[in-house]
Amino acid sequence: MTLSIIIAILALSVPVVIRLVKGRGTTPQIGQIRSVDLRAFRNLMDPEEEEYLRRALPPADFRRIQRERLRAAVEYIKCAASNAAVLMQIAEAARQSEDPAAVQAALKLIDNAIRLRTYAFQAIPKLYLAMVFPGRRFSPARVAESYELMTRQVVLLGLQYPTGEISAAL
Amino acid sequence: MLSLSLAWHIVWFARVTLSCALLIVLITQRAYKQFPLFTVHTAWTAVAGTALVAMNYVPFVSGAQYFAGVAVSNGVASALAFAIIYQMFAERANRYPVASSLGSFAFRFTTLIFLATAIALAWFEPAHGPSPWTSAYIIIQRTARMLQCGQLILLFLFGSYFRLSWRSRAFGIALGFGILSSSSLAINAIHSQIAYDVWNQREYIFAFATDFAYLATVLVWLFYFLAPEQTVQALDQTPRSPGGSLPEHDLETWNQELERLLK
Repeated sequence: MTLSIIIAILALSVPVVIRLVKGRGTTPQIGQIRSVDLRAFRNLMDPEEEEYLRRALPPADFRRIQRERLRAAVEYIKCAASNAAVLMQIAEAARQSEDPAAVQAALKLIDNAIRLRTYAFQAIPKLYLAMVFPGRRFSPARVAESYELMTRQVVLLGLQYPTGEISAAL
Repeated sequence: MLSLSLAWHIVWFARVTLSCALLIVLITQRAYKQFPLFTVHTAWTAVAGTALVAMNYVPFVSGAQYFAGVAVSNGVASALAFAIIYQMFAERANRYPVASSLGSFAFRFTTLIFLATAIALAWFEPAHGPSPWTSAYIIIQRTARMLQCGQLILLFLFGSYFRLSWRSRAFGIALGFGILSSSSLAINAIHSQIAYDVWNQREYIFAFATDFAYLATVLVWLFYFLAPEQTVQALDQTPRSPGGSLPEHDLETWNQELERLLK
């Protein structure tokens, strides 16, 4: 009975919470975009850099620093995923444009934003796991590649559809 | 003071009347083109609800016949609800090819998990009905509602995480099913664990709670179908002329991007 009631409460609260948190049809804002330093992220995920730190530092220091690096990487991924969500809202609006080129660019951007959020969904738990076991190797390179591709697609979309200052903010 | 029986009858008649009103709204707004299965579901609940009210007052209908009517009415409505939830999920996911395969995998996986949970619950927590038929009915309804709750949780979470666009009416339909399935699951879970002896005050409370939840659901659906539909908003709705020059900041960013590519 308890399990059934927990599931019932979840089923009722999830849509209500989503609507309360995200609001109804909110307009995407440039202020929601957070800058992501791709180079710094790649450096954090570089296996050679990790290997260098492992050799240069005592094991306890390496584990502490590696945890800090992974925490920073998680923050970068969260920012990139959050930016992807904002870009999806813009692309969704551009999808209804009368210009076929804008629609095409918007569709590509949507695909890549979904892909990035899928990678982020997979990468974040792995990075947390790597924080618990700092010796474990994990490189979410696909997140960086996907983010880079997405920024290019925003620029492409900006040529056909008003995207404000978003491409510059990325 | 209003008796429990009278309160239940008022809620019951109100929800049947409002179901008929919802059907009229769907037909007049031609919403059946956009939501054909939901229209069929509404038509079924309106017709079956009216038939059950009539059966309740016709002297030659026995208790067993009335129970069979309730079981058929709820069975068909549940099957239609499953079809609607699946259709809503498939339609949303199919609009985004990248999310489509992940979505269908997640849908199947969630259905299996919740089906296994519901079967385990049916095994370990059987219902205590006055007859094997009513016990089986309570268990089947609990299983169906649990599956619907699981699928709706996935529908909301999946769409929310991937920011898949959702028309306000489709959200309203899903929210209505969320209210209906969750309240029905909770009522069924409590009902299945309480030993039944005779139709007493407690049974009136369950009947009142069930119909009240349905009334709330119909009101939610009516609200979403009577309110103007929300559309996706753009950052700036000013159209750009095909021959017009591009703003300077776009060209600057374009140049920066090319530089980055050439490096």
